Amino acid sequence: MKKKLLSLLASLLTLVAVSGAASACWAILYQPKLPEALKKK
Amino acid sequence: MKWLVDYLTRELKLAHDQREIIEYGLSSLVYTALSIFSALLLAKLFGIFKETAAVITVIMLYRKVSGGAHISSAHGCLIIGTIASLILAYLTSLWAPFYAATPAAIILPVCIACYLAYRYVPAAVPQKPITSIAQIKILRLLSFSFILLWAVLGFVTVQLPQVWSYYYFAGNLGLLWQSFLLTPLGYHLLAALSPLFYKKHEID
Repeated sequence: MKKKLLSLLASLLTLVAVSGAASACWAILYQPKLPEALKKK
Repeated sequence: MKWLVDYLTRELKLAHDQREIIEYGLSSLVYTALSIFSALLLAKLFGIFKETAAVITVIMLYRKVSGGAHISSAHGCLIIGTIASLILAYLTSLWAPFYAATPAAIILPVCIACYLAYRYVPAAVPQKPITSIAQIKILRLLSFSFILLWAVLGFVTVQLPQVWSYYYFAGNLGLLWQSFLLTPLGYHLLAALSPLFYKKHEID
């Protein structure tokens, strides 16, 4: 059960990261460097 | 924040790439939530909560599709973003009672935003370059769609009670601020403000 919840959390955070990479930038004034792994996608 | 990523990495045996992506997603969520929270908390204290909510909603939605200038540190972003939203909300409370329902206040910001979007969208930053032609086209399309939708909302608010025009005016100030951040002048302004938030070891 714990593993499933952690996987769900990891999937949600991945979704947020990918949607952030697809948009022009973050919604706020700060934008850290895009991870290399997301540049490849 | 790092402890949560470490914990997930350990428990799920994540690869380095996956860890980086999750850390990026988590940072995005946390910093965005912190920015919204700090702006709304201070706005509540100053009695301009709804105006600030209208301002930041428009800024954040439009920013996602248009891009724009950035501050180089997270705490700088928090401070400048909060101050800017509060100033725009305060200006709304000063000006909107007189100008919100005038045709110029509804049409002019949309025209200015349209022109600046045509010139500068998508406005990328070195931390997140936008090189794909398809992505550029989509972001431009989404930006113009947003402005068009905002313009339609403006004409709808004219038919509604005046309080709607008041908050539409707040959104318009947000739209103008975000449009300004697309321009070279906006980039220069934030580049000039960025050093104020460097940590001492970054200067040395």
